[in-house]
Amino acid sequence: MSSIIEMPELVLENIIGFLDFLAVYTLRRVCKDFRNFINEMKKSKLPDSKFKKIHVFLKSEEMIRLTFIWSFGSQIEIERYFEKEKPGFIDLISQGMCLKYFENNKNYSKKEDLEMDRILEILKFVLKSQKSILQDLTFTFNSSQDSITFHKMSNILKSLNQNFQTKRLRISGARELQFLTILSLIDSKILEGIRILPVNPLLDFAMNSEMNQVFGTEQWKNSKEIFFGFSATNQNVEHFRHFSTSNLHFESISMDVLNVLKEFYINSPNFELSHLTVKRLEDTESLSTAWGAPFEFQYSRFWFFRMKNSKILKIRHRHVVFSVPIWFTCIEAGNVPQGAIIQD
Amino acid sequence: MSSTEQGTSSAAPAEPTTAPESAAAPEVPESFYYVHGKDKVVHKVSAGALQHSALIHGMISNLGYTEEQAKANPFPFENIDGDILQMVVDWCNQHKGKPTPPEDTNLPKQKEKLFDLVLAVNYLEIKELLTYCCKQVAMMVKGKSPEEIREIWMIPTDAEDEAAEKEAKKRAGKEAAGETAAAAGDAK
Repeated sequence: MSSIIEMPELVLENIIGFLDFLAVYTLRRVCKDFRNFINEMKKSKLPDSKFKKIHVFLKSEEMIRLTFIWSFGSQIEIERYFEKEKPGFIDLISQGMCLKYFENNKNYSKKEDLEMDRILEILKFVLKSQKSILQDLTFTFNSSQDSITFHKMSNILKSLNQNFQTKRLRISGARELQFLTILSLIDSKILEGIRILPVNPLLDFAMNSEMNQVFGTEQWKNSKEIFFGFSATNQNVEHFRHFSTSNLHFESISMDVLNVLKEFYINSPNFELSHLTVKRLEDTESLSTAWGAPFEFQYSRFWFFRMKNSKILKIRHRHVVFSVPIWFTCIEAGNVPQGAIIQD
Repeated sequence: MSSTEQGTSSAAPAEPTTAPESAAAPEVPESFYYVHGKDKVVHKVSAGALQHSALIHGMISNLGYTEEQAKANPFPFENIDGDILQMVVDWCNQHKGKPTPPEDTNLPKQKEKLFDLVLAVNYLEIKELLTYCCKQVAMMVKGKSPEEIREIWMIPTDAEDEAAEKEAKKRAGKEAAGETAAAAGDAK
């Protein structure tokens, strides 16, 4: 009698071609031979994993968590479900699947190292199988950039030799290398929104991270939306202007820079919204000096400017002492309140 | 009279081109070939049915055997069990000259036979039948757990596999040792 393992390569590929992602994923777990065979298979021969969202959470050298989600809607439930995990937890639920590996043993033995490699191998398999465009791809790096696991993971991502297709990308980290490594692997034609966040907001917010290489990537330049959790500065603000939607944080911002932004948005055909949070805004009176008498309403001051595309740029500044919000919004002329002046 | 004259004059050059196309199909006797498997039981199969197998089709297309030559030289497929070859021949006969349906439900239900059939069909290069067989093999494990798949496809676990391998190595080692001992004995 013949064994399935002895089937010629083409026959096995033919058989696997009739299976869906979950069946192939299960088949990987059947035995070593199948795992090796499937690992070596070409992307084109594998069924689409069709995930909507993937989250890679590198908590430490000893812990990684992968979450793959097929459908949205019960995100919190899924997160809660995953909190009950045990070491080496691998489970499937209807909305998605989660793999978690963490090792409490401080003595890092070879055997445990292999376990981590196994989890990374699954990440590789899933990413190779992902053919439809992701809605959301998230990386959280709690560990430093010198992390061996981070290097292993980035080598695996690079070895796939593909540009990952996702509409939104979210990276929490602490060092430019982490952001740069991931960002440069994303398909810039598909990417719409980027969220760059400090992994520890309290400690890292003030850290004016060097991001010049990130700003230079094609992915950064082509994206339409940005949420930047680190502080932007008066010097690097030019790298944020092109986004049609942006959410930025500043330690402080000069009137000159605000003016430059205003002029840029007035002339931009695609501008939608920009939300700035400024930790300390000194000399708020200079806003009125530069933009004229404001329209005041509910602790806020408004200015309205006619844009090149005949829409209106609304600037709103709220009177607060700390974390001063300033909004630039593109609105229709009909939405300008009565009594407000539209400046040309 | 004029009609016969016309008939003879025009028919002579036209004959070779029209004959095989129109009335000839039933008149020209279908050629048959002979195949046998491991059990040496010879099956007589029409060239039309054998068209399904790219391998056999390639072998016979340039042979130009007469009926006697074909009968005297059956194709031996020593790597295919007799009952499996019978299944293949039956399938080829059933689907002779017909477009193949999208599904084939007449495939063997026993997995032992199905795996052997897959190998035979792959070897004989019968594309459609291979697709049906692969689909059937795949459907056996759809929605099953790794443990169930192991049982259905009769796959040993990695641990069992390793143990078997060790056992085989041990045996091979023993045999090798025996041989060297024997060789040493011979040398003496």
